Amino acid sequence: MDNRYAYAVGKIRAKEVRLLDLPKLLSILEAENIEEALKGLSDTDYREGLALVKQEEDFDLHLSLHMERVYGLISELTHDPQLTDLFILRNDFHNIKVAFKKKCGASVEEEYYLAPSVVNREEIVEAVETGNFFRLPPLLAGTLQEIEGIYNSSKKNIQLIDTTLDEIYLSHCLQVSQQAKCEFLERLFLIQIDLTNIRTFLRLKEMDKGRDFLKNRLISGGLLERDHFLKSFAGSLESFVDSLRFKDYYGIVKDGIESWKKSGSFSFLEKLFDDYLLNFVKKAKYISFGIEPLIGYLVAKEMEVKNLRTVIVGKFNGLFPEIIKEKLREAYISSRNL
Amino acid sequence: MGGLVVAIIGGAMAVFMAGIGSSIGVGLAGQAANGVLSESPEKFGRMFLLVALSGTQGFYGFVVGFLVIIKLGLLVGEIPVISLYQGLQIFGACMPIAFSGLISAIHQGKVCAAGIGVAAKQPGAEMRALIYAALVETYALLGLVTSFFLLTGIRLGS
Repeated sequence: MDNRYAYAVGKIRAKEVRLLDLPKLLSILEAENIEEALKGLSDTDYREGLALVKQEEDFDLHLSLHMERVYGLISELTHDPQLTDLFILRNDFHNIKVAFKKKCGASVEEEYYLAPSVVNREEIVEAVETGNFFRLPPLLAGTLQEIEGIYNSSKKNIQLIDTTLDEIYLSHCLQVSQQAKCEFLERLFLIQIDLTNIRTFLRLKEMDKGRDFLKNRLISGGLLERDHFLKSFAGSLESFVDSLRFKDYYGIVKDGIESWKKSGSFSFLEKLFDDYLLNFVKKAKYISFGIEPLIGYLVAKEMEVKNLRTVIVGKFNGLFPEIIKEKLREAYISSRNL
Repeated sequence: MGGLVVAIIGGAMAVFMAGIGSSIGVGLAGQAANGVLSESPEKFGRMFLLVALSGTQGFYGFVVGFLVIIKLGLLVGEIPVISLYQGLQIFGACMPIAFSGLISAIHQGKVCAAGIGVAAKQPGAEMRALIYAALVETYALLGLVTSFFLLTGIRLGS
Protein backbone atom coordinates (compact mmCIF):
# COMPACT_ATOMS: atom_id res chain seq x y z
CA MET A 1 0.00 0.00 0.00
CA ASP A 2 1.39 3.35 -1.05
CA ASN A 3 -0.58 6.43 0.02
CA ARG A 4 1.47 8.68 -2.28
CA TYR A 5 -0.61 7.44 -5.20
CA ALA A 6 -4.04 8.58 -3.87
CA TYR A 7 -4.30 11.45 -6.40
CA ALA A 8 -2.86 9.43 -9.27
CA VAL A 9 -5.22 6.50 -8.67
CA GLY A 10 -8.23 8.86 -8.52
CA LYS A 11 -7.22 10.35 -11.86
CA ILE A 12 -6.62 6.95 -13.43
CA ARG A 13 -10.00 5.67 -12.19
CA ALA A 14 -11.72 8.60 -13.90
CA LYS A 15 -9.73 7.90 -17.07
CA GLU A 16 -10.47 4.17 -17.07
CA VAL A 17 -14.13 4.97 -17.72
CA ARG A 18 -13.09 6.32 -21.12
CA LEU A 19 -11.20 3.21 -22.20
CA LEU A 20 -12.85 1.44 -25.12
CA ASP A 21 -14.80 -1.67 -24.20
CA LEU A 22 -15.39 -4.54 -26.61
CA PRO A 23 -18.91 -3.45 -27.76
CA LYS A 24 -17.48 -0.05 -28.72
CA LEU A 25 -14.65 -1.66 -30.69
CA LEU A 26 -17.14 -3.94 -32.42
CA SER A 27 -19.37 -1.01 -33.34
CA ILE A 28 -16.34 0.66 -34.96
CA LEU A 29 -15.47 -2.61 -36.67
CA GLU A 30 -18.97 -3.02 -38.08
CA ALA A 31 -19.08 0.52 -39.51
CA GLU A 32 -19.90 0.58 -43.21
CA ASN A 33 -16.72 2.30 -44.29
CA ILE A 34 -13.54 3.83 -42.93
CA GLU A 35 -15.09 7.31 -42.59
CA GLU A 36 -17.88 5.90 -40.41
CA ALA A 37 -15.35 3.87 -38.41
CA LEU A 38 -13.27 7.00 -37.70
CA LYS A 39 -16.43 8.90 -36.82
CA GLY A 40 -17.03 6.25 -34.15
CA LEU A 41 -13.92 7.53 -32.39
CA SER A 42 -15.11 11.13 -32.26
CA ASP A 43 -16.59 10.72 -28.77
CA THR A 44 -13.51 9.00 -27.33
CA ASP A 45 -10.06 10.07 -26.09
CA TYR A 46 -8.85 9.58 -29.68
CA ARG A 47 -10.84 12.52 -31.08
CA GLU A 48 -7.94 14.99 -30.84
CA GLY A 49 -6.30 15.24 -34.28
CA LEU A 50 -8.68 12.67 -35.79
CA ALA A 51 -9.64 15.05 -38.62
CA LEU A 52 -6.07 14.80 -39.96
CA VAL A 53 -6.35 11.04 -40.52
CA LYS A 54 -6.74 10.43 -44.26
CA GLN A 55 -4.78 7.24 -44.74
CA GLU A 56 -3.32 4.29 -42.88
CA GLU A 57 0.00 6.00 -42.10
CA ASP A 58 -1.84 9.00 -40.62
CA PHE A 59 -3.66 6.71 -38.23
CA ASP A 60 -0.39 5.08 -37.14
CA LEU A 61 1.00 8.53 -36.40
CA HIS A 62 -2.23 9.46 -34.63
CA LEU A 63 -1.93 6.43 -32.33
CA SER A 64 1.78 7.11 -31.70
CA LEU A 65 0.98 10.67 -30.63
CA HIS A 66 -1.81 9.37 -28.41
CA MET A 67 0.54 6.91 -26.71
CA GLU A 68 3.12 9.67 -26.24
CA ARG A 69 0.47 11.58 -24.29
CA VAL A 70 -0.34 8.48 -22.22
CA TYR A 71 3.34 7.89 -21.37
CA GLY A 72 3.60 11.61 -20.56
CA LEU A 73 0.65 11.36 -18.18
CA ILE A 74 2.11 8.34 -16.40
CA SER A 75 5.52 10.07 -16.08
CA GLU A 76 3.72 13.05 -14.56
CA LEU A 77 1.78 10.95 -12.04
CA THR A 78 4.44 8.49 -10.97
CA HIS A 79 6.44 8.68 -7.74
CA ASP A 80 8.69 5.87 -8.93
CA PRO A 81 10.02 6.96 -12.33
CA GLN A 82 12.57 4.13 -12.30
CA LEU A 83 9.61 1.73 -12.57
CA THR A 84 7.36 3.53 -15.05
CA ASP A 85 10.36 4.46 -17.25
CA LEU A 86 10.82 0.73 -17.90
CA PHE A 87 7.86 0.93 -20.28
CA ILE A 88 9.45 3.83 -22.16
CA LEU A 89 12.82 2.07 -22.16
CA ARG A 90 11.21 -0.72 -24.18
CA ASN A 91 10.97 1.76 -27.08
CA ASP A 92 14.73 2.39 -26.85
CA PHE A 93 15.40 -1.32 -27.14
CA HIS A 94 13.01 -1.49 -30.07
CA ASN A 95 14.85 1.44 -31.71
CA ILE A 96 18.19 -0.34 -31.21
CA LYS A 97 16.74 -3.40 -32.99
CA VAL A 98 15.58 -1.22 -35.90
CA ALA A 99 18.92 0.61 -36.08
CA PHE A 100 20.83 -2.70 -36.23
CA LYS A 101 18.49 -4.01 -38.91
CA LYS A 102 19.34 -0.88 -40.89
CA LYS A 103 23.05 -1.46 -40.27
CA CYS A 104 22.63 -5.03 -41.54
CA GLY A 105 21.28 -3.63 -44.79
CA ALA A 106 17.54 -4.09 -44.25
CA SER A 107 15.19 -1.43 -45.58
CA VAL A 108 14.00 0.65 -42.64
CA GLU A 109 11.28 3.29 -42.70
CA GLU A 110 11.27 6.23 -40.30
CA GLU A 111 7.97 5.12 -38.78
CA TYR A 112 9.53 1.86 -37.58
CA TYR A 113 11.16 3.83 -34.76
CA LEU A 114 9.06 4.34 -31.65
CA ALA A 115 8.60 7.37 -29.42
CA PRO A 116 8.78 8.43 -26.65
CA SER A 117 12.12 6.98 -25.68
CA VAL A 118 14.69 7.63 -22.96
CA VAL A 119 17.27 8.53 -25.62
CA ASN A 120 16.45 10.40 -28.81
CA ARG A 121 16.24 7.94 -31.71
CA GLU A 122 18.77 9.98 -33.78
CA GLU A 123 21.34 9.45 -31.02
CA ILE A 124 20.65 5.72 -31.03
CA VAL A 125 20.98 5.50 -34.82
CA GLU A 126 24.22 7.52 -34.75
CA ALA A 127 25.65 5.40 -31.93
CA VAL A 128 24.82 2.16 -33.77
CA GLU A 129 26.29 3.43 -37.05
CA THR A 130 29.48 4.96 -35.63
CA GLY A 131 30.06 2.53 -32.77
CA ASN A 132 30.55 5.54 -30.50
CA PHE A 133 27.98 4.80 -27.81
CA PHE A 134 29.74 5.97 -24.69
CA ARG A 135 27.67 9.14 -24.46
CA LEU A 136 24.54 7.05 -23.92
CA PRO A 137 23.26 6.07 -20.44
CA PRO A 138 25.33 3.17 -18.99
CA LEU A 139 22.62 0.52 -19.56
CA LEU A 140 22.20 1.38 -23.25
CA ALA A 141 25.94 1.86 -23.79
CA GLY A 142 26.63 -1.58 -22.26
CA THR A 143 23.84 -3.11 -24.32
CA LEU A 144 25.15 -1.61 -27.57
CA GLN A 145 28.66 -2.80 -26.76
CA GLU A 146 27.38 -6.36 -26.28
CA ILE A 147 25.22 -6.24 -29.41
CA GLU A 148 28.11 -4.80 -31.44
CA GLY A 149 30.14 -7.85 -30.39
CA ILE A 150 27.36 -10.19 -31.56
CA TYR A 151 27.01 -8.22 -34.78
CA ASN A 152 30.71 -8.59 -35.56
CA SER A 153 31.04 -12.23 -34.56
CA SER A 154 27.76 -13.77 -35.73
CA LYS A 155 27.74 -12.62 -39.33
CA LYS A 156 25.01 -10.02 -38.77
CA ASN A 157 22.63 -12.51 -37.15
CA ILE A 158 19.57 -10.30 -36.67
CA GLN A 159 17.61 -12.98 -34.84
CA LEU A 160 20.33 -13.43 -32.23
CA ILE A 161 20.54 -9.65 -31.84
CA ASP A 162 16.76 -9.49 -31.27
CA THR A 163 16.69 -12.23 -28.64
CA THR A 164 19.76 -10.81 -26.87
CA LEU A 165 18.09 -7.39 -26.70
CA ASP A 166 14.90 -8.97 -25.31
CA GLU A 167 16.96 -10.77 -22.69
CA ILE A 168 18.87 -7.66 -21.61
CA TYR A 169 15.69 -5.58 -21.46
CA LEU A 170 13.56 -8.09 -19.53
CA SER A 171 16.39 -9.02 -17.14
CA HIS A 172 16.94 -5.32 -16.42
CA CYS A 173 13.20 -4.78 -15.81
CA LEU A 174 13.06 -7.77 -13.49
CA GLN A 175 16.07 -6.55 -11.54
CA VAL A 176 14.70 -3.01 -11.15
CA SER A 177 11.26 -4.21 -10.02
CA GLN A 178 12.86 -6.64 -7.55
CA GLN A 179 15.06 -3.87 -6.13
CA ALA A 180 12.01 -1.62 -5.78
CA LYS A 181 10.11 -4.53 -4.12
CA CYS A 182 7.22 -4.03 -6.53
CA GLU A 183 5.75 -7.53 -6.63
CA PHE A 184 3.10 -6.68 -9.21
CA LEU A 185 5.65 -5.42 -11.72
CA GLU A 186 8.06 -8.24 -10.92
CA ARG A 187 5.33 -10.77 -11.67
CA LEU A 188 4.43 -8.95 -14.89
CA PHE A 189 8.02 -9.17 -16.15
CA LEU A 190 8.34 -12.80 -15.02
CA ILE A 191 5.27 -13.61 -17.13
CA GLN A 192 6.76 -11.67 -20.06
CA ILE A 193 9.99 -13.69 -19.78
CA ASP A 194 8.00 -16.95 -19.79
CA LEU A 195 5.87 -15.91 -22.76
CA THR A 196 8.98 -14.79 -24.68
CA ASN A 197 10.66 -18.14 -23.95
CA ILE A 198 7.55 -20.09 -25.03
CA ARG A 199 7.45 -18.03 -28.24
CA THR A 200 11.16 -18.68 -28.89
CA PHE A 201 10.70 -22.40 -28.16
CA LEU A 202 7.84 -22.75 -30.64
CA ARG A 203 9.50 -20.68 -33.37
CA LEU A 204 12.74 -22.66 -33.14
CA LYS A 205 10.75 -25.87 -33.14
CA GLU A 206 9.05 -24.70 -36.32
CA MET A 207 12.44 -23.85 -37.86
CA ASP A 208 13.76 -27.27 -36.79
CA LYS A 209 16.77 -25.79 -35.02
CA GLY A 210 19.04 -27.67 -32.59
CA ARG A 211 18.98 -27.68 -28.79
CA ASP A 212 22.15 -25.56 -28.55
CA PHE A 213 20.49 -22.94 -30.71
CA LEU A 214 17.62 -22.78 -28.20
CA LYS A 215 20.01 -22.69 -25.25
CA ASN A 216 21.53 -19.44 -26.49
CA ARG A 217 18.18 -17.79 -26.98
CA LEU A 218 16.30 -18.62 -23.78
CA ILE A 219 16.00 -15.91 -21.15
CA SER A 220 16.90 -16.86 -17.58
CA GLY A 221 14.98 -15.93 -14.46
CA GLY A 222 11.40 -16.69 -15.55
CA LEU A 223 8.83 -18.72 -13.65
CA LEU A 224 9.47 -21.62 -16.04
CA GLU A 225 13.03 -22.91 -15.75
CA ARG A 226 15.29 -22.88 -18.83
CA ASP A 227 15.81 -26.61 -18.28
CA HIS A 228 12.09 -27.18 -18.71
CA PHE A 229 12.33 -25.89 -22.29
CA LEU A 230 15.62 -27.63 -23.04
CA LYS A 231 14.33 -31.01 -21.80
CA SER A 232 11.13 -30.68 -23.84
CA PHE A 233 12.85 -29.55 -27.03
CA ALA A 234 13.65 -33.03 -28.33
CA GLY A 235 10.09 -34.26 -27.71
CA SER A 236 6.84 -33.57 -29.49
CA LEU A 237 4.74 -30.44 -29.13
CA GLU A 238 2.09 -32.53 -27.38
CA SER A 239 4.56 -33.58 -24.70
CA PHE A 240 5.58 -29.92 -24.26
CA VAL A 241 1.92 -28.98 -23.78
CA ASP A 242 1.53 -31.87 -21.31
CA SER A 243 4.56 -30.68 -19.35
CA LEU A 244 2.69 -27.41 -18.73
CA ARG A 245 -0.46 -29.17 -17.48
CA PHE A 246 -0.11 -27.84 -13.94
CA LYS A 247 1.14 -24.39 -14.97
CA ASP A 248 -0.94 -21.29 -15.59
CA TYR A 249 0.04 -21.22 -19.27
CA TYR A 250 -1.41 -24.62 -20.10
CA GLY A 251 -4.68 -23.38 -21.64
CA ILE A 252 -3.21 -20.66 -23.80
CA VAL A 253 -0.31 -22.77 -25.06
CA LYS A 254 -2.63 -25.69 -25.86
CA ASP A 255 -5.16 -23.53 -27.73
CA GLY A 256 -2.43 -21.46 -29.39
CA ILE A 257 -0.58 -24.52 -30.70
CA GLU A 258 -3.81 -26.06 -31.99
CA SER A 259 -4.59 -22.87 -33.89
CA TRP A 260 -1.00 -22.64 -35.18
CA LYS A 261 -1.18 -26.19 -36.50
CA LYS A 262 -4.45 -25.48 -38.30
CA SER A 263 -3.64 -22.06 -39.71
CA GLY A 264 0.16 -22.09 -39.82
CA SER A 265 0.11 -18.68 -38.15
CA PHE A 266 1.13 -17.56 -34.67
CA SER A 267 -1.39 -14.72 -34.60
CA PHE A 268 -3.94 -16.49 -32.37
CA LEU A 269 -1.16 -17.55 -29.98
CA GLU A 270 0.01 -13.93 -29.82
CA LYS A 271 -3.55 -12.82 -29.07
CA LEU A 272 -3.79 -15.38 -26.25
CA PHE A 273 -0.45 -14.17 -24.83
CA ASP A 274 -1.68 -10.57 -24.86
CA ASP A 275 -4.99 -11.58 -23.24
CA TYR A 276 -3.08 -13.45 -20.54
CA LEU A 277 -0.98 -10.36 -19.77
CA LEU A 278 -4.05 -8.13 -19.76
CA ASN A 279 -5.92 -10.46 -17.42
CA PHE A 280 -2.95 -10.32 -15.07
CA VAL A 281 -2.86 -6.52 -15.01
CA LYS A 282 -6.66 -6.40 -14.47
CA LYS A 283 -5.83 -7.17 -10.82
CA ALA A 284 -4.77 -3.51 -10.59
CA LYS A 285 -8.45 -2.53 -10.79
CA TYR A 286 -8.88 -3.76 -7.22
CA ILE A 287 -5.88 -1.93 -5.76
CA SER A 288 -6.63 1.52 -4.34
CA PHE A 289 -3.21 2.76 -3.25
CA GLY A 290 -0.06 2.10 -5.22
CA ILE A 291 1.61 2.18 -8.60
CA GLU A 292 -0.36 -0.86 -9.84
CA PRO A 293 -3.38 1.06 -11.28
CA LEU A 294 -0.97 3.24 -13.30
CA ILE A 295 0.73 0.18 -14.75
CA GLY A 296 -2.65 -1.46 -15.37
CA TYR A 297 -3.85 1.62 -17.25
CA LEU A 298 -0.65 1.83 -19.29
CA VAL A 299 -0.82 -1.82 -20.36
CA ALA A 300 -4.56 -1.43 -21.03
CA LYS A 301 -3.82 1.54 -23.29
CA GLU A 302 -1.13 -0.40 -25.15
CA MET A 303 -3.61 -3.20 -25.81
CA GLU A 304 -6.33 -0.74 -26.77
CA VAL A 305 -4.03 0.92 -29.32
CA LYS A 306 -3.12 -2.51 -30.67
CA ASN A 307 -6.84 -3.31 -31.05
CA LEU A 308 -7.62 0.01 -32.70
CA ARG A 309 -4.73 -0.40 -35.12
CA THR A 310 -6.03 -3.87 -36.02
CA VAL A 311 -9.54 -2.54 -36.61
CA ILE A 312 -8.72 0.64 -38.51
CA VAL A 313 -5.87 -0.80 -40.59
CA GLY A 314 -8.16 -3.75 -41.39
CA LYS A 315 -10.84 -1.27 -42.46
CA PHE A 316 -8.39 0.66 -44.64
CA ASN A 317 -7.42 -2.60 -46.32
CA GLY A 318 -11.00 -3.80 -46.73
CA LEU A 319 -10.65 -6.92 -44.55
CA PHE A 320 -13.81 -8.75 -43.56
CA PRO A 321 -15.00 -7.85 -40.03
CA GLU A 322 -14.96 -11.54 -39.02
CA ILE A 323 -11.24 -11.79 -39.82
CA ILE A 324 -10.47 -8.61 -37.87
CA LYS A 325 -12.63 -9.76 -34.96
CA GLU A 326 -10.55 -12.92 -34.51
CA LYS A 327 -7.46 -10.81 -33.96
CA LEU A 328 -8.97 -8.51 -31.33
CA ARG A 329 -7.49 -8.64 -27.84
CA GLU A 330 -9.63 -8.48 -24.71
CA ALA A 331 -10.49 -5.06 -23.34
CA TYR A 332 -9.42 -3.86 -19.86
CA ILE A 333 -12.93 -2.76 -19.00
CA SER A 334 -16.35 -4.16 -19.74
CA SER A 335 -19.60 -2.25 -19.50
CA ARG A 336 -20.74 -4.43 -16.56
CA ASN A 337 -17.46 -4.54 -14.70
CA LEU A 338 -15.65 -1.26 -15.08
CA MET B 1 -1.42 21.82 40.33
CA GLY B 2 -0.04 18.58 38.90
CA GLY B 3 -3.58 17.25 38.51
CA LEU B 4 -4.64 20.25 36.44
CA VAL B 5 -1.67 19.82 34.10
CA VAL B 6 -2.41 16.12 33.57
CA ALA B 7 -6.10 16.89 32.89
CA ILE B 8 -5.21 19.61 30.37
CA ILE B 9 -2.80 17.24 28.60
CA GLY B 10 -5.65 14.69 28.37
CA GLY B 11 -8.02 17.25 26.83
CA ALA B 12 -5.33 18.40 24.43
CA MET B 13 -4.58 14.84 23.35
CA ALA B 14 -8.27 14.23 22.59
CA VAL B 15 -8.22 17.23 20.26
CA PHE B 16 -4.87 16.77 18.54
CA MET B 17 -4.85 12.99 18.15
CA ALA B 18 -8.33 12.86 16.65
CA GLY B 19 -7.40 15.94 14.62
CA ILE B 20 -4.25 14.27 13.26
CA GLY B 21 -6.32 11.23 12.26
CA SER B 22 -8.90 13.39 10.52
CA SER B 23 -6.36 15.44 8.63
CA ILE B 24 -4.65 12.28 7.35
CA GLY B 25 -8.00 10.71 6.43
CA VAL B 26 -9.41 13.80 4.73
CA GLY B 27 -6.03 14.32 3.05
CA LEU B 28 -6.10 10.86 1.50
CA ALA B 29 -9.71 11.06 0.36
CA GLY B 30 -9.19 14.64 -0.83
CA GLN B 31 -6.23 13.65 -2.98
CA ALA B 32 -8.20 10.80 -4.54
CA ALA B 33 -11.16 13.11 -5.17
CA ASN B 34 -8.92 15.76 -6.74
CA GLY B 35 -7.53 13.11 -9.05
CA VAL B 36 -11.06 12.29 -10.20
CA LEU B 37 -12.08 15.95 -10.45
CA SER B 38 -9.04 16.73 -12.63
CA GLU B 39 -10.76 14.56 -15.25
CA SER B 40 -14.44 14.94 -14.35
CA PRO B 41 -15.13 18.24 -12.51
CA GLU B 42 -18.88 17.60 -12.62
CA LYS B 43 -18.45 14.85 -10.01
CA PHE B 44 -17.64 17.33 -7.20
CA GLY B 45 -21.01 16.90 -5.45
CA ARG B 46 -20.77 13.11 -5.59
CA MET B 47 -17.31 13.14 -4.01
CA PHE B 48 -17.93 15.73 -1.31
CA LEU B 49 -19.45 13.55 1.44
CA LEU B 50 -16.80 10.87 0.94
CA VAL B 51 -14.05 13.46 1.45
CA ALA B 52 -15.71 15.17 4.41
CA LEU B 53 -16.63 12.04 6.37
CA SER B 54 -13.17 11.48 7.88
CA GLY B 55 -13.29 15.02 9.26
CA THR B 56 -15.85 14.06 11.93
CA GLN B 57 -13.31 12.44 14.26
CA GLY B 58 -11.45 15.73 14.61
CA PHE B 59 -14.76 17.33 15.55
CA TYR B 60 -15.48 14.61 18.16
CA GLY B 61 -12.04 15.19 19.66
CA PHE B 62 -12.75 18.90 19.82
CA VAL B 63 -16.09 18.27 21.61
CA VAL B 64 -14.33 16.19 24.29
CA GLY B 65 -11.55 18.78 24.59
CA PHE B 66 -14.17 21.48 25.05
CA LEU B 67 -15.92 19.42 27.75
CA VAL B 68 -12.60 19.21 29.61
CA ILE B 69 -12.17 22.99 29.35
CA ILE B 70 -15.66 23.54 30.83
CA LYS B 71 -15.12 20.89 33.50
CA LEU B 72 -11.88 22.54 34.60
CA GLY B 73 -13.58 25.95 34.61
CA LEU B 74 -10.94 27.37 32.33
CA LEU B 75 -13.43 29.50 30.40
CA VAL B 76 -14.80 31.36 33.45
CA GLY B 77 -11.54 31.35 35.38
CA GLU B 78 -12.95 29.46 38.41
CA ILE B 79 -10.54 26.55 38.50
CA PRO B 80 -11.26 24.00 41.27
CA VAL B 81 -8.49 22.28 43.18
CA ILE B 82 -7.70 19.08 41.26
CA SER B 83 -5.69 16.27 42.77
CA LEU B 84 -3.27 14.26 40.70
CA TYR B 85 -5.69 11.35 41.02
CA GLN B 86 -8.57 13.43 39.56
CA GLY B 87 -6.28 14.76 36.84
CA LEU B 88 -5.42 11.21 35.84
CA GLN B 89 -9.14 10.34 35.77
CA ILE B 90 -9.78 13.16 33.27
CA PHE B 91 -6.71 12.15 31.29
CA GLY B 92 -7.98 8.56 31.07
CA ALA B 93 -11.48 9.71 30.12
CA CYS B 94 -10.04 11.54 27.09
CA MET B 95 -8.17 8.50 25.75
CA PRO B 96 -11.09 6.62 24.09
CA ILE B 97 -11.75 9.40 21.58
CA ALA B 98 -8.06 10.27 21.25
CA PHE B 99 -7.11 6.80 20.06
CA SER B 100 -10.31 5.70 18.34
CA GLY B 101 -10.42 9.07 16.56
CA LEU B 102 -6.81 8.84 15.39
CA ILE B 103 -6.98 5.31 14.04
CA SER B 104 -10.55 5.26 12.72
CA ALA B 105 -10.08 8.52 10.79
CA ILE B 106 -7.02 7.18 8.95
CA HIS B 107 -8.76 3.96 8.01
CA GLN B 108 -11.96 5.76 7.12
CA GLY B 109 -9.94 7.98 4.81
CA LYS B 110 -8.64 4.88 3.04
CA VAL B 111 -12.14 3.44 2.66
CA CYS B 112 -13.35 6.80 1.35
CA ALA B 113 -10.47 7.06 -1.14
CA ALA B 114 -11.23 3.56 -2.44
CA GLY B 115 -14.93 4.49 -2.59
CA ILE B 116 -14.07 7.59 -4.60
CA GLY B 117 -12.36 5.30 -7.13
CA VAL B 118 -15.56 3.26 -7.40
CA ALA B 119 -17.80 6.35 -7.58
CA ALA B 120 -15.59 7.74 -10.38
CA LYS B 121 -16.47 4.75 -12.54
CA GLN B 122 -20.02 3.86 -11.58
CA PRO B 123 -22.76 6.47 -11.30
CA GLY B 124 -24.71 6.03 -8.06
CA ALA B 125 -21.99 3.99 -6.34
CA GLU B 126 -21.05 6.83 -3.98
CA MET B 127 -23.88 6.04 -1.55
CA ARG B 128 -22.81 2.40 -1.32
CA ALA B 129 -19.22 3.52 -0.75
CA LEU B 130 -20.44 5.94 1.90
CA ILE B 131 -22.16 3.13 3.83
CA TYR B 132 -18.89 1.20 4.09
CA ALA B 133 -17.09 4.31 5.25
CA ALA B 134 -19.84 4.99 7.80
CA LEU B 135 -19.22 1.56 9.35
CA VAL B 136 -15.76 2.78 10.36
CA GLU B 137 -17.39 5.85 11.90
CA THR B 138 -19.15 3.58 14.45
CA TYR B 139 -15.92 3.10 16.37
CA ALA B 140 -15.15 6.79 16.54
CA LEU B 141 -18.69 7.35 17.86
CA LEU B 142 -18.20 4.67 20.51
CA GLY B 143 -15.00 6.44 21.57
CA LEU B 144 -16.81 9.77 21.74
CA VAL B 145 -19.71 8.38 23.79
CA THR B 146 -17.34 6.60 26.19
CA SER B 147 -15.21 9.71 26.71
CA PHE B 148 -18.36 11.81 27.21
CA PHE B 149 -19.86 9.55 29.90
CA LEU B 150 -16.54 9.10 31.66
CA LEU B 151 -16.00 12.85 31.79
CA THR B 152 -19.50 13.60 33.05
CA GLY B 153 -19.07 10.92 35.72
CA ILE B 154 -15.92 12.43 37.21
CA ARG B 155 -16.56 14.68 40.25
CA LEU B 156 -14.16 17.53 40.93
CA GLY B 157 -13.74 19.84 43.95
CA SER B 158 -13.82 18.83 47.60
